[in-house]
Parts: sequence; structure tokens; C-alpha cells
Amino acid sequence: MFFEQLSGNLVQGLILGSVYGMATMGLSLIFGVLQVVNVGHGAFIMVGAFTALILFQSLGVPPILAIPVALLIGMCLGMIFYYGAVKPLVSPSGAGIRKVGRRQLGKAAGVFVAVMIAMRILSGVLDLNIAFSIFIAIILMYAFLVYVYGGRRQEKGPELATLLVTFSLGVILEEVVKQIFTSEARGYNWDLGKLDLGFTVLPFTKILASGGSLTVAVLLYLWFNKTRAGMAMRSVVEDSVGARVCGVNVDWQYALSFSLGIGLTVTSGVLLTMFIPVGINPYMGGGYTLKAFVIAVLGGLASPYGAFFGGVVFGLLENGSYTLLAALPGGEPFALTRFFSFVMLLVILLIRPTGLLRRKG
Amino acid sequence: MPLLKCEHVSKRFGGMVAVDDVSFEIMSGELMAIVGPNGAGKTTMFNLINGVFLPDEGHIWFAGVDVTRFPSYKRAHLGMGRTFQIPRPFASATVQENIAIGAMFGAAGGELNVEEAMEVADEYIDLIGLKAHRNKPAGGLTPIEKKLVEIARALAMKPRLLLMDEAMAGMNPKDIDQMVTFIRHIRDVEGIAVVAMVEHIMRAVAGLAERVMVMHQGAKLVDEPTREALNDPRVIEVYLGRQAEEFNAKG
Amino acid sequence: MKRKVLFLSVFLLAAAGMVLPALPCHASDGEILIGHPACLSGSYAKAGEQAVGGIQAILDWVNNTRGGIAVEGRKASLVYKYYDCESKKESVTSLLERLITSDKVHFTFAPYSSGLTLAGAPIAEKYGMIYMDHGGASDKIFQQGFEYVVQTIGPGSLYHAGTLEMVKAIDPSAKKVALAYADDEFARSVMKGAEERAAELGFEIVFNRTYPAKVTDLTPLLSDLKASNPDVIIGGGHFEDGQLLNRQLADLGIQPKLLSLIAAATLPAFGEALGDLAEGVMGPSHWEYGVTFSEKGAKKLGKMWIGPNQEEFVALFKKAVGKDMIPDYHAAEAGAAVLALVLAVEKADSLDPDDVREALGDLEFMSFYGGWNIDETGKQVGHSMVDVQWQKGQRVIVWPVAAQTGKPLYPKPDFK
Repeated sequence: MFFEQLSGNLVQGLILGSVYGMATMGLSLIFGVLQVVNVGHGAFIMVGAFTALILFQSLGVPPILAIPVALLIGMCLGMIFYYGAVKPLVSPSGAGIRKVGRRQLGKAAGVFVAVMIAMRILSGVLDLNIAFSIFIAIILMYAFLVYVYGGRRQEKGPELATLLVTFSLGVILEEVVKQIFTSEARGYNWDLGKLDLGFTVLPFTKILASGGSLTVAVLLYLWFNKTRAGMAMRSVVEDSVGARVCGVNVDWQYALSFSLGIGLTVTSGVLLTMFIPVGINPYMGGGYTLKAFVIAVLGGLASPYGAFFGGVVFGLLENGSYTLLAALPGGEPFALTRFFSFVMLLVILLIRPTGLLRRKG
Repeated sequence: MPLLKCEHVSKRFGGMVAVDDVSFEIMSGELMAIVGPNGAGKTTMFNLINGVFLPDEGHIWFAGVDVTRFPSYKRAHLGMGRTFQIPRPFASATVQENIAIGAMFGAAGGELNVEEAMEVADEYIDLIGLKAHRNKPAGGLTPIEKKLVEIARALAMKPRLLLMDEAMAGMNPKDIDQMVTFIRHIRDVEGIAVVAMVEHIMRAVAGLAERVMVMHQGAKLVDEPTREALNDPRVIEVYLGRQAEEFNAKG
Repeated sequence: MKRKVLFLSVFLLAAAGMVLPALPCHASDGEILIGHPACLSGSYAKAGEQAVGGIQAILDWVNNTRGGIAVEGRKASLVYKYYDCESKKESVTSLLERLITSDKVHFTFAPYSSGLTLAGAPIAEKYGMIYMDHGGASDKIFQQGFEYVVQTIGPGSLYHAGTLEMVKAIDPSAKKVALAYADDEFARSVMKGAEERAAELGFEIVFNRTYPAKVTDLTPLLSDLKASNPDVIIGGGHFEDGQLLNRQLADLGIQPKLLSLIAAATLPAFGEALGDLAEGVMGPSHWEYGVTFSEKGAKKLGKMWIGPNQEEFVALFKKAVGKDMIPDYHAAEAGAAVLALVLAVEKADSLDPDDVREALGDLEFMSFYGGWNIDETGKQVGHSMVDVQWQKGQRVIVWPVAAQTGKPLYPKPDFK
């Protein structure tokens, strides 16, 4: 009985972990290239989830086919956000003319945050349509402001600014989606039957989700090793100055990496809904952001493959530990599961501080 | 027309002047050394030529193009290659991949795909004699081997100007002689202008450079053919007496 | 210089946007101010939106149809001031402070959910402010010795009184009960009540486990549950986790005879999200569109009646939210809380919190929402739950028999 439960949970954990891992690859990529921590990570997963939901409900498109659409949407979103909000705060070429001081950058970030807070309050007090139009107007004003103050600079903006910006981007996404789709928790039902293994039952949609994640990881590997842009990206992660003097267009690589990272994250939202097709709502991202951070650290922060691998390990730990902890008398296994996963994380980091995989681009 | 021309280039960091109104030229195919004591501004000068820093004042022309405001990678496309004092190849990439990256993104590589670039890399691996390490990650090599990988990577870019920073650092005399021969070969066979920056290793300067620019406290002190520089009293004065004797002894 | 001006003006605009809603709104004579830190974003956004709509609907009725509140020799109108607490505890406490001290409201309403209601209660108590609990069902709220908390929603412990009675009546052979629920105030109080009720009625609890509220995967817990082979599964928490629970029960091929999920199963979105998988799933509800409370019925029971009837409420609600949305019980219970306040203020003929609280204690009435009567701790004891069940994409009231709009479907059809 015990071993049956354990094996069942491990198999489920393996499958779930691969999807978690895939969901973290974008985060690792963006950090590896730009040294930007995307605090709004979960919100992009949510965008992917809604993409799958809407395509299925309105057009009957099976989620598998929603994957390329999500990737495209994600990359476009990534490009817009990069050029609109992130670029002024990182310095890709490392070379600038005007020295815009940290104070101005801090102010710009502060304005952004103030605007976000104002948005939340406004949307609660005013009529929805008015709030929405002001919303858009403020975004446009911000983008304009950023270009007035942004542009080429000598030094990077304070790290806090990028945290604030990515956080605000996440908030914008949540609020926009809420305005359009309301905060209702939604779902869809794509039934392909189940695989009964005796000790556990696996719906085919979950197996597909896992397979899809693995495929994406493999495609990413091929991209990094067999294409020009991929090799260039690896070199930037490894040594951005070295890459520059070799002729790699670092400005473009930054934009491409950010956009690809966001694209991967949005795509993972589709795969996630193949796993869990319910509870889709604008605020669903929060639960995944923390998990993604833990997995990213586990996998070595800058390595997308590490993230994938880390996700699998995390899934195995989370699920496998349940059975072990349930065997302890009188405990609440689930509460302990989280505790256990984090303890394991600490242990692994003590043994291998750089994460499970050595950093490979 | 000179290959590289720097005109009244200055660079400040905070209150400190690192490079002070320096002007000079390099012709195609020249072998030139920039020398000077510690803190003379040599590294900064290199970084300015290469685009890692942008100058506060002055202009830089390369192959007739005003590259003063160009980022490093644009200068690389025009034909600048660079190696570093402490070699820094891409550690987790193999030797072959390292060189392939140079091949793909350098002056000549616009059309190469990864497979083709890897083949090109093989030629350079043979050149530097590291065939045995072809598929090893560059991070696991010895410092000399890393240096060779970096040089091969830069050469694969088909540069017209190769900036070699302290190329002889940490080498024994026999290796230095070999490197000198190698660099001559690069210039003679490939026609690449090499600007080497060596500080203490006069053996190399004497054997390698046709022209020497001596920097002192950020400014250019002299810029003349090597033989003259070695005997120039201003140069001797800048270096301490003992080294001056070394100059004359090796002469 | 031009840039600085542009920058400063945008900054000021944004700052103004922040400040304006916060300008204290002093009530003029003839106005009674209600303050509410509502959940308009975050996990409880949906429920919060409903509650705000329900309050606005009843406010409309009180001010325009009823003609206001007669107090201290004049007719006063109700004014409603609310902020978004973002479903966060810290925001609840700070917003309540602002409502009480700066906006100078006369009465406060709690935010949705037991956890947040509890978080704000001490603030209201500190200022001796009446705190209307419309969305916090946990019995724990009324074990703290608070004097000013008044409950309109039925307490958690009574949620499953009906469900288990129903099983016993229909199928006495179904004895094994599994409890799988979220680790939060609300679910804990409901399941504690269910446990006690199960023991009273002779059921056997074969599985009893919690999961973290923001859970993303329940597979290990449900695999464990499967092994205990229950007849009846009761559980859930709020919204996403209820959907997740249902979905993953189906994924693992677990087929109970009855499945009852709190909160999630009573919302329209549940049926849409789960499609066929919702067929036969039940949930306890405080109020459903279709319940038959009326002025006539109240008279028959000898109870005082106040407020709009069901159809009127629905119409006012749609007007308040500006779209064609059916109110759910979150809206109804919030609206009913306003009605209670209206009656109490008139009865006490004063705005003094102590007088009004005393009046609330003596109050007993009926409205479109059902019965209303509190005990000495402020807990709601006059309101009874109904059980709804999803049948062919519609929510049908199946228990108690007196409130039925359709027959219960038992056993629950198998998940395919």
C-alpha cells in the first residue's frame, strides 16, 4: 500500500515537475542574460492560461495548437515590455553618453509605482470604462516619460528599479485581464481519456502536458546549440563583454532574450492548463511565482536547463514527500510537504550552492 | 589611409583622468606596442579603441569610419578583434564552439550557420594545436591554452586589427619567443595589424613591435620606431634606472 | 527645463490620483455613512464585487424606494464609502482605520472571508464601531469576546447540517465520509461542524486532511483519499481550490456517491469551468436565486418583513453593477446586513453604536435573503442554509425539502 502510494505520487510528481520546470525556464533565461528578476512572472503564466482557455472556448482550438499562438503572443508582449519599460534600466551595450543619475531613475520607477497604486484605487471608485481609459493614458504617458529620461546611459539603473518595473508589469497584466474577463475562476474541459496504471491514474492531457514541456526543453536545447541566435545568447549569458567584442549584437540579444523568456513563460501557462484546466483567473499567477523562484535557485538561477531539471526534482520532492509524511502518525502531510521541500532545497544548496546543474548557457 | 586613427581622445572616471588627449595612428599590417608603467592608461586606451568605454572627448576612426560612438560589436563587425589580459573564453562552451562564435559574429561571419562555423573553427584549432581539446569546455583548460583559444576566437573573426592585451603575461621565455613568432606569422600571412600591449617584457617588444607608443600618466609620451624608443632618454627616465640598463643591454 | 515640467506635472497628476479618493468625506447632517474595506482585487475579488453590488442595490432601495431612515426626528439617507483591500490583511486594518478616523463613518462592514473579517474586528472593537460581518462564517469570530461584530451570513458550523441529513434520509447504507479541505479559518470551522454532525448522525470519518489554501496540485492527497474508499466527500475552501478538487477527483477516477464543495460549487462559474464534471456536485448555499422568501410567507410565520422582494433585488443589483449579472449569495448576504442595520437604527432611534448594537440584539426579521436573528455573541442563528446541486448545467435547490426546486440526484453520476 505504502509503496503503491509512493510510486503513484512519484510518477505524478515527475509529470507535474516537468511542467513546473518548463514554467521556470523563461525566468532563468531572463535572469541569465539581463540579470533582471522578473517578479511579475506569475502574471505571464496567467496570460498563457487565458490564451488556452479563450482559444478552446471560443474557437474549439485544442490546447496543443494554442502553444505556438501563446509563444507568439508572449514574444510580442515581451518585446513591447522590453522596449517600453525594461530597456532604459539595463545597459546592453554598456556604453552611454549622457550620465542620467540614479536619482532620476529612482524617480521614474517611483512614478510608475505611484501610477499603479492610483490605478487600483481608481478602478474601485470610478466607472470601469473611465478607469480603463485613464489607465491606457497613463501607460502611454509613462512610456513617453521613459523615453525622455531613458535611452543611453553610462551605468545601470538601481536593481530595485527593475524589480519595481517587472512587478508593475505583472500588476498591469492582472488588472487588464480582470477588466476584460472579470475575476471569475474559469476552466475548460478537454477530455482525452485516462491511462490507468493500477497504482495511479494519469489523464492523457497530463501526459501530453509533460511531453509538451519536454519537447520545448529539447527545442530550446537545439536552439541554443544549433542556431546563430541561440549560440549568441549563450555567449551573452556566459560573458557579456566577451560576447560584445566578438561581434555579438548585445542590444538585440537583450531584447530577444527578454522576449523569448516571456514567450516561454506564457507558453508554459498553456501547458499548465492542460494539467490543471480549472481555477483560471487573473490572480492565479501568484501561487506559481514563488515556486518558480525556488525552482530557479535549485536549478542554478541562470540556466534554463537547470530550471527544467530543478522543476522535475521539485515535483518529485513535493509529491513523494507527501507519502512519507503521511506515514508519520498524527501529522498533516500537506503542511509538512512544503516545509519538507524547503528543507531539501536548503540541504541541496548547502551541498551545491550554485544549484544542481553547473551553469551551462 | 590609416587603419586606426585616434584624435585627442580623453577619458575621465569621476575626478581622475585616465587617458589625456592621446592621438596616434596605426597603418594596415603594422605591428605596434603600447607600453608604459602601471597606471599609465594602457588598458583604458585599449578599451576605448575597442568600444568597451566611450571617450569623453575626441574621435576614433577605424577603416575610414567614425566609430567614436559605436558599441563594441559594431566595431567588431568592421574588423576589430580583441584578447584580454586574463583570458576569458566562454567557459562552458567547448573550444570548437568558442572559436565558432568568433567566426559567426566577426567581420566575415554574416552568412555562416552554426555547422559551417564549426568547420571553420576546426581550421583554427589546428592552427593553435589544440585538436586534442576540441570538445572540452574552455573553462577546464590551462591559462596558456585559454589564451590560445581566445586568440583563435579573435582570429576566426577575420579581423583587420587585433588588439592583444598583455599577450605575453605569465609566459616563460621559450613560450614568449614562440608567441612572438606566432604573432609575426599572423601579420605576415593574414595581413592583420596587431597592437600588442606589453609592459615588462622588453624581449617581446624588441622582437615584435615595429613601432612603440609609450604612455605615462594617461598621456602619450613618445610614438616612434622601436629602436629609437629604446634609446630615447625620455622613455628611459620614465622607467626606473635598472630597467633602463635592461633596455640598453638587450638593445 | 521642459522635461522637468513634464515630469513634475505627471508626478503631480499621479499623486492627485492617489490622494483624491482619500480625501475625508464628512457626512452632512441627514447622511449615515457606511464604511467598507471591500475585496475588489486579489483572491476574493469576485465575492467582493458581488458584496459591493449587493450593498449598493439595497442602498438604492433604502434611499429611493423606502424614502430613507427615520432617526432622531429626521429622514437620513445612506452613503456608502468603500476601498479596495486587495484581499490582504494589512490593507484591511489600515483601510478600516482610515474609514473610522478620517472618513468618520458611522458603521463599518467587514471584508469578505473569515480570515479578513477576523483581521479587521479588533480595529472596529477598538473604536467601539459596529462591524457588520456579511462574508465571514467561521464560528471562531464569535469566540473572541467581540462586542460589536454582528453576523448576517450563517456560521460555518451549520453549513453541512443539511447535507448529511439528506444522505441519511436517502441512503442509510452510506456511512463513510471523507473530508478534504483548505487550511483556512472558514473551511476549518465548516468541517469541524461537519465532523460533529457526522458523529451525531452515525457516520464514520475515514479521511480528514487539509491542504494549503493556495494549492496548485492535490494529486497526492487525493490518491490517499481514494484508498479510503469513501461514500461521501465533503470539502473545498474558496474558489480555485474547489474547482481544482473536483477536477482532480475526476482525473484520478474517484467516484463518490455524493460530493459537496463549499463556496466554489455554488457559483455559476463552477458549472462553466467544469462542464459535465459538475453534474451532481452539491454545495451549501446561503441564498440562491429561486428561493421562495416573500412578505406573505413572513406574515404567515409571524415575522417582520423588510426590503425588496427577490425580483426587485435582482433588478437593483443589475443596475448597481451596470451589467446583466445575476447576484449570488455574497451579494444577498451583504444586502441583508444593510437591512438589519436600517431596522436597528430606526428601532434605537439613534446612531450611537451601543444603542444600535442593543437593537440588533433584539432584532428578528425576514427579507428576500431569509431569516435573521443573532445570539448574544453576535452569531447568526436565524438563517438556514440550502443545498444546491448541479443538474444539467443548472443549480437546483435540493434540500431541505421545503425549499426544493428539484429532486436530488443520488448517487452522483460517475465522472467519465
